[in-house]
Amino acid sequence: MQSTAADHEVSASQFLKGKTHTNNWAVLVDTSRFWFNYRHVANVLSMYRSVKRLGIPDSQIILMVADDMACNPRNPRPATVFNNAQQHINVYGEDVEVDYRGYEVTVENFVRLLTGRLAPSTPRSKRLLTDDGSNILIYMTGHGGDGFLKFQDSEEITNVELADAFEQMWQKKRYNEILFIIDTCQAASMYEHFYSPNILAIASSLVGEDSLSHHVDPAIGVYIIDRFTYYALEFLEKVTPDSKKTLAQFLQVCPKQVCISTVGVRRDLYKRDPNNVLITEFFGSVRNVELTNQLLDLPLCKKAEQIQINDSIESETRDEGNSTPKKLVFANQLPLHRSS
Amino acid sequence: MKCDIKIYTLWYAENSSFLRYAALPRENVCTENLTPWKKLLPCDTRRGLAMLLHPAPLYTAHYHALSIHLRPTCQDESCTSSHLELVQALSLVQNPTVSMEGHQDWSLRQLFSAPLISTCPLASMSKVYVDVTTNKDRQSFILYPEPDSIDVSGSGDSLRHLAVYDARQALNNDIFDLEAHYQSRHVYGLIPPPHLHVSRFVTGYGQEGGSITVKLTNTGGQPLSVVYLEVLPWYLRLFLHTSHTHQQMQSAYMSKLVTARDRERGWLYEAVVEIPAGATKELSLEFTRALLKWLEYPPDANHGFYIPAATVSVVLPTPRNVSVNSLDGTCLKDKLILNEGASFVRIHTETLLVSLPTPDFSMPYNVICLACTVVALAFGPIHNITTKKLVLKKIEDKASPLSKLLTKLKSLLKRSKMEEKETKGTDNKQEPVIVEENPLYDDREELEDIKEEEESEEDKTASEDENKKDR
Repeated sequence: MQSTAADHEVSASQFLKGKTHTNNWAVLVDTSRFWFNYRHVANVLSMYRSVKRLGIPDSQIILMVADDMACNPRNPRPATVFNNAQQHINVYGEDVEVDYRGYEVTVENFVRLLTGRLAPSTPRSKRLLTDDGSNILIYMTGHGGDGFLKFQDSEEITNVELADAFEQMWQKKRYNEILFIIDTCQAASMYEHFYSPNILAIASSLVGEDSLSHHVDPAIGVYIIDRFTYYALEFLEKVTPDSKKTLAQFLQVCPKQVCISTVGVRRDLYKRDPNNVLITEFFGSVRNVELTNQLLDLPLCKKAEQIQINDSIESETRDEGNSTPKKLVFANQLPLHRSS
Repeated sequence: MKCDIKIYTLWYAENSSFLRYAALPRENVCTENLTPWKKLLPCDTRRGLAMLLHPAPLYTAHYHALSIHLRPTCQDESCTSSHLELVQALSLVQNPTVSMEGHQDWSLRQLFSAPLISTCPLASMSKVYVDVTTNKDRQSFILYPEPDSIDVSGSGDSLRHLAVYDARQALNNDIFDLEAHYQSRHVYGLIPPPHLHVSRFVTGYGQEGGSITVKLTNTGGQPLSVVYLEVLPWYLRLFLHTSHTHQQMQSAYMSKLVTARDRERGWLYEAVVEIPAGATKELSLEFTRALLKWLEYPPDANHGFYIPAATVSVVLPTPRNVSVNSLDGTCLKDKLILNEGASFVRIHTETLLVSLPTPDFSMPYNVICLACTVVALAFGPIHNITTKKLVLKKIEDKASPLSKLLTKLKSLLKRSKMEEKETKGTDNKQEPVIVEENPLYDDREELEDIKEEEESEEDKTASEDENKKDR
């Protein structure tokens, strides 16, 4: 009995010790345009939904979607993207924020985002502001082949370019650990050339295999989601921010009989045992809690306070005592039209 | 909100270098636009009127528009302290008669799929206005709950009655769900047309040229002077003479023109058009389509290129049947109170889709494949012809062609009968052999040596192959 208790302690300490990161980021990329690639948008939004639900804020999720499926004229249900034909989960959600959209989804922008070589005018929402304590989840989906992933049918990123981008990130101390997931045909070829440490790579299919879609939705006329992501979402839906599910369990998410393709995993760059890594270390977010001994008096939002707040605002910008706001002066909007 | 930079009113009113104009013709408005828009509000989506805005009812509506208006303002005449004014607006057109069996009954819950539950505590005013101009003496519909007050604005044609609800007071009873109950089925009457309407479209056929045509219709009783502004990308090359030779357009004059420069800047074309009362004027700009460089085409080049909307600015004599964007007010409250008299209206026309001539993007690949094949096919024979010469080898046995044929047949028969007992050397001796000879080698003996070596090598490789197969 003692030994088992000790084991538990060891595993618990490993869990605690294992956590090496201080913040979480996610880069979710859909590289496909056009309506018949609806499933790729559904894939990426499934991941977006999961990471957002598990606590990564929108400011730390970089979502790249190459085409608008939700409000596409061909979508019979506007502002929705579903994960299956029974419309179980609207993965598009009610407060989605897409950071790179349409033509902005290019290889150049993606590599610049990862390596941080962006123009000074780039807004914060389009930057990956990670540090050496960041765990990054990188998810990519689209059409790929042996050694490349196509971006919008016009260009492609090769596995060598991707490996070099990760090495540059490592040298610039832009990550602590990376979980790289890719759902595309011959996906395993994309992680073949990785040589930077602390990367765990998961691919939906091995080299020479196709990644397959799950099923057709007759209402939209195209395939709705890919197999690997469908089962990954099914698994992630059961994960809660405090769940003890591990990465090793996530690796078993799509066995060959349901995925048809073989899920490939590259572990040699990743030092830790996936059995000891919580899934929430990548899909969830570190919540920094500050403890205080002081008593805080939080005012309840009642009428009196409301009026106080309003008064304080009005005293700044408007005349007090007078309910009508101070008349602002506008420039002459029609300089040519002076007759009036 | 306070801005340290002094913006003098005259500056940006009369110096156009303070004006910036941009358009996103391709933008497909969806939840991903609404979310950042909502986040600009002081209470985000957590409290206030923005809680009504759920994407599903919004984007299934017949028409929706999302806008942000940003402009500098001054707090006083001398403009010592300046502000930036941000106005966010969302317009929505729904058709309740479709779902309510001819009745126009509506409620907040039905239109937005939720009633109002809270107001933003940071807001100084939360009000709901209902236009009840058509509801004289409450004959056509009844509002529930009763409005707090009824405001009257405008006069004559532009008279409006507005029922006003203070959402903050109404929310004392938990939730606020505004309902309208109609007495009878809705009968569509004649809707008075707006004072001015504009439609814009692309004419012409083929991949070379075309023209952008604008139809401006003045339905009012007074002539209108309209400012038409067009900002076009450089890859449409305009022919400006065409717009003025048109007989109808004699009254138009071009007030501003910035010509495009390839890959640097677009066209800016501004014209002032006089439209007589009750008349329709047509303005057309002819263009040819430029060929872009291969890498300048977007990934879906065959879809076409969106051309931004033109703007039509006009000062209408009366604010009849238009929602006037009051220039001297900030709040909706100010904008809803219409003043009789000249009112400024800006109309944005339709965006256009123009298809440019697109190259066959797989052409380079095809050319490479084809060119390589042709080169490979040509190279072999040419190399052979230029480096080798054909020489007939002397044959000792001078047999006639007929006897040659016979011997061939005989040898074939022998092979089938004798199987492997026959030795190979005997047959070959009798046949004439053409030997390819390199002119570089004059010494024939040497050549024969080389040939023999080659043969022996071939034998070796053949035997090796067999060995491999066995393994």
